[in-house]
Amino acid sequence: MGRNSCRYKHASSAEQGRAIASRRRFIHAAGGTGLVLAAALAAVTGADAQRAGGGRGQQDAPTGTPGGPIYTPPSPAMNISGVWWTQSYNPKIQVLGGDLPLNEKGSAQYARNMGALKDGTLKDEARHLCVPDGVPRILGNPYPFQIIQTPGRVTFVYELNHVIRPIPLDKPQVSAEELEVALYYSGHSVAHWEGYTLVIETAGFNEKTFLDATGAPHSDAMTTIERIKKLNGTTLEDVITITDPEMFTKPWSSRFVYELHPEVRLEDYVCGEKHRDISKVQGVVVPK
Amino acid sequence: MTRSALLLGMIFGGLAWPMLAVSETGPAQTIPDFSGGWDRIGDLLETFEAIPGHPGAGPLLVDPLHPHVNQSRDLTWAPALDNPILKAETLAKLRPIAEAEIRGIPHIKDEGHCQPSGVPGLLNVRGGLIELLQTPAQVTIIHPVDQQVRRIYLDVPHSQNPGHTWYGESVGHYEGGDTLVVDTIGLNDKTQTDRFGTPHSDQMRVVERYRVAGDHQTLEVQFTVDDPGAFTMPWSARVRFRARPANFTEQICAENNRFVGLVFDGGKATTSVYTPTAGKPDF
Repeated sequence: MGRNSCRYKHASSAEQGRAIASRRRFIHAAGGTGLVLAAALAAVTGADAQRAGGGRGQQDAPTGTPGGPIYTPPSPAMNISGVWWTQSYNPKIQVLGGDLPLNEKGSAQYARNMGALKDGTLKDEARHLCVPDGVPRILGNPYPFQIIQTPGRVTFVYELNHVIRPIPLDKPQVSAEELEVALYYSGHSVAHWEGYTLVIETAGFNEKTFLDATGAPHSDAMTTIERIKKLNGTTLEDVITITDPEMFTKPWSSRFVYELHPEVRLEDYVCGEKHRDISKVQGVVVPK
Repeated sequence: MTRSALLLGMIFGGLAWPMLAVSETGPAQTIPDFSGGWDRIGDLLETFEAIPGHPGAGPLLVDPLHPHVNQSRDLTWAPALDNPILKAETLAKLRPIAEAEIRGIPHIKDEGHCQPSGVPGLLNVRGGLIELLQTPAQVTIIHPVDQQVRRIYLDVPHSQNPGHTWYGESVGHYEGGDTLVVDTIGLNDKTQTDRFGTPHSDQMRVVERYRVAGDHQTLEVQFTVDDPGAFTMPWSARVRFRARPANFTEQICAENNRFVGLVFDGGKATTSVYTPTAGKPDF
């Protein structure tokens, strides 16, 4: 009977067993034990903080009582809440300082992916079935997203495919066992502040996503570190470093930049429906 | 009392809320704390309860002749169809769904289609903890089942042309230190009103009151549905939750949405149920 309509990935212990068996290495859990620098940063009132917080963010004036439900950033530079939107889109991920450092296996996999996407034997499920794009592909998507800061957590809510990344602050990564068996499109993330930079460490990715729209590959051994900071009151930067020895000869990085859009409200997103006009985002080609 | 007066009573019940709105000059407002995860409690975890002592109309309830019993073989979701809230045309659409249920052919919930559950349906989603993310100007409600998200904008009026969307347009305000009041309009007519598959129209308006207990252990949501396109009168119901540590898992419906056996969907019994797909990608 069809009572349980959606069969989610955790449903099958057999699948989990295969997932464990297929992993050849222990993923080193990215630690999330960064110190809280809030107190020190709160004392910083120099030009950097002014520059970083000078914009008209929608949550520049948090209210609430200490210990209450509303998070009050200790510095405008650490208030990254709001709706952000990239100004440009590139189907191919841009590697800082060069090209993808693919190893032999990575080169072969990339070639296979490109060929199969072209001849249709491989579907880009993120676009056709609207499953999550995964990290880092979601970082470059041409739809707006919202960052929500609450006590002890930063949550990324993307309009595209209504992807949600809830990221605990100053908490340890989930257990090594969970990283082995509960493989997520968006991985498992933890974060901490280093100065005015939010550092997000992620592991436990599934292998169902590409790194970009061209089919750049990764394995489930991939780990990522994102360094997110405000460049000024209305601009946010996310520099992500990707480590995946199964596909690449060395770690590499890519950079994404977003503008604050307090006038934008995220919209519902259901696959196959008409969605927001993204034609103004540079690089977007809307298929005819 | 007129329909609109009833609704205004729900929205502005208690103190006049503009006085409570956050402002730099006004008195500080106590904001209730909805943090953490919330797990449904009650006898039937996917359907609405009548509000004890409520004098007005109530929700559709399980037909006592065809009970639904958790953890048993009695999993029928058949409503008692004599509830006076049902307009004739709504009853005409609901009756075949109920009759199929009684024959052992279940109907598909919205989230079974990998579609949003809408309002108030999101309160009925099973399989994870609901969370309310509170920020100064917004409350964002998230549910891990298919990563559902709806947004409530605080202390602002509705827009002039909200259109019709899956979760509609929600505005809200805090009241009395323990309650969040949410007024939702602009819903589409594609979602089910309740666990029985009762249809509604795009005229539906829902006013919800989220009230957290003083010990932060329980959350009760009382709400009123007003939809002259589907119901003869406004009706009210409640759902209850208990506090749990937040645990937001990633549950992606579309990656493997499949059905085994016969289901009742789109007005007929079928073994084929669609999942939304994009024939042409957006970019």
